[in-house]
Amino acid sequence: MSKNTSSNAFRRIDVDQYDEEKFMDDQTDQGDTGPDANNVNNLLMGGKAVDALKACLQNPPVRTKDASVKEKATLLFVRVISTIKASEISGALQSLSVEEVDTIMKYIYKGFSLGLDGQQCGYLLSWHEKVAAKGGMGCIIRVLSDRKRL
Amino acid sequence: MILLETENRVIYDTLNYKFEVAQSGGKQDSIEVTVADFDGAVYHLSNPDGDKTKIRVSIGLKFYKDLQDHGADELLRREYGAYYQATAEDGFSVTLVYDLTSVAKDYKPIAKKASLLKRNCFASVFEKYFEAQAKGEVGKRAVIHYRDDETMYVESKKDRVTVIFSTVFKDESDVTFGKVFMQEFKESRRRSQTAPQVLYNHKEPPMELSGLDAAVGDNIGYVTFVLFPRHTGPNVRDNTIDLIHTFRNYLHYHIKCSKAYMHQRMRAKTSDFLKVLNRARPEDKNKEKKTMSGKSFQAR
Amino acid sequence: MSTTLRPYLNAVRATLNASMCLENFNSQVVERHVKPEVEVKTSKELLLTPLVIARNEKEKVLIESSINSIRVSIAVKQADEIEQILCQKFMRFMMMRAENFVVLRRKPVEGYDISFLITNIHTEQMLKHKLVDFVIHFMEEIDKEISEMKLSVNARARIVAEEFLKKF
Repeated sequence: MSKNTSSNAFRRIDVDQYDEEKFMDDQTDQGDTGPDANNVNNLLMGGKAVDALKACLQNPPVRTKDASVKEKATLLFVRVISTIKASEISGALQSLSVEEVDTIMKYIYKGFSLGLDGQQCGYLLSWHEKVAAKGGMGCIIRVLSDRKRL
Repeated sequence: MILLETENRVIYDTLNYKFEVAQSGGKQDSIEVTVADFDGAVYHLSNPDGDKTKIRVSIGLKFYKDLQDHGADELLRREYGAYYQATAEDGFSVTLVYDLTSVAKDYKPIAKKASLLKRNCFASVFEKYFEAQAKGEVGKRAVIHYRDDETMYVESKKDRVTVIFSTVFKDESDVTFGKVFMQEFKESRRRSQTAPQVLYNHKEPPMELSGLDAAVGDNIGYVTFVLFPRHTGPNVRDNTIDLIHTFRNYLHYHIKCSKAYMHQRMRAKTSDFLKVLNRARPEDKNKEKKTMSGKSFQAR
Repeated sequence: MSTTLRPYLNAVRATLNASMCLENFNSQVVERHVKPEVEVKTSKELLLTPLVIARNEKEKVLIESSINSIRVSIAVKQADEIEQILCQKFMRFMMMRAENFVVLRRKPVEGYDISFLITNIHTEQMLKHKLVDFVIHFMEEIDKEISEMKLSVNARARIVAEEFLKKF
């Protein structure tokens, strides 16, 4: 009896790990590789900017933890949007689905955080305006709350 | 008030008052005043040996020895004549004594001269070098430590006199303000043809002072004035001396003025922001709530 | 460069509108305490993705949101030394009066010049769209104020130099 009650080990147990309502971040590193850079580059060279955009939005590297993959994908995205002329932006956005619009928004915000120069930020800003007009408040909110972050 | 006054206002006003009272035959009170001036100068107005009919004006300069080497005593004797005392008051560098019983009719210029005592102490150095330059001699460089960390160097060459001030900026934002001000000084040559050339070195001493072990540091600046014969000629040299000897004080005074102005603006802007923020609060709709029978609720 | 100002402010406004959804939330770590979750960051599930909106490498806004608080950090344009000093002085001045300002944070976040901390209490006491208006107005006015102060320093320097050298 005395042996049990004098032990203080119970104080060192991490109680929180046994909490049923503990948040389990169910993001596993699934090794996403991002969009197919070659495909996108070929389409860009061929002058098919809108198709390049679509291709660029495939397979966003949201499930990987590797920062360099995300950065590469974002830089590719910035290249694509800098080739699309300002007047063609709305046209390009017409044909995109809701998920693709969300992905664009994610890329835009990721692009801002990379510390690019004034001209590229200018492209991102004008795209942000148009995409926000299309996707509305919900688009931005989904970027904020989606666990699958870029 | 953009330019600093050359004379000491306190001395001038006090002496004027005393002379006026003496002239109108009024009763003289004893006087005991200690005033501080730029560059660590201390003025002392008193009655020598308690004699109320005489006023003693003394100035204490820590660097008077440097000035004496360049003939300060002779110049002061020349300027103040009978008022100049051979031995200064205890603890001070120069003493003048004014007799109130024999005050001249026109006493204002006398008072003015007395209030220029500090300027006249400096004047000797400049005059000596202006003379040397006029004769075409190259004099030995004068070094005056007019403040604790700051020095003034005067040198005469064949066709010009250079005066170099070293100044310390105690605050690092002062350094940036100082640079902006000195930039303008350098460029003003373009605007005014008569102005002397001004050069500015930050951190390191200019070439003329190389090898002299002059101070080096992030918050140290060197200002060089190049005075040509046009500025040092006999009829303009007094004006030049007036302006040059207080330059360092002038610069720092204006740096502090701009900082105060900035502060004023920031305060105004901040209250502006607060007003905008308060617009975000909805007005307090204080509706009185009453029950059916007329009793009103009171928030506890 | 100034052509990106409007889109920049619009983007910030849209993002702020979207992220300023705050409600009261008791701390899950300590009983009977309410802490601004964006500051303590103890529970990952309460934090939203931090977003950056950048105008160029120097000017950007970082918006970190959580369930009961949002932190907005602004990096102000500072082109040269004198602007840097003026910006520092101005920000320090305001941050010392943070208590009056209510929504201001006493220390800026690393890498930025000034930060706001807006909690659910503020959004309950104040109108949300006006708070957003305030932040945008703040960003515009800071830039204007710093350029004006710099101009006044230059003007003063010119007058000082002229007055002095005129006398020779």
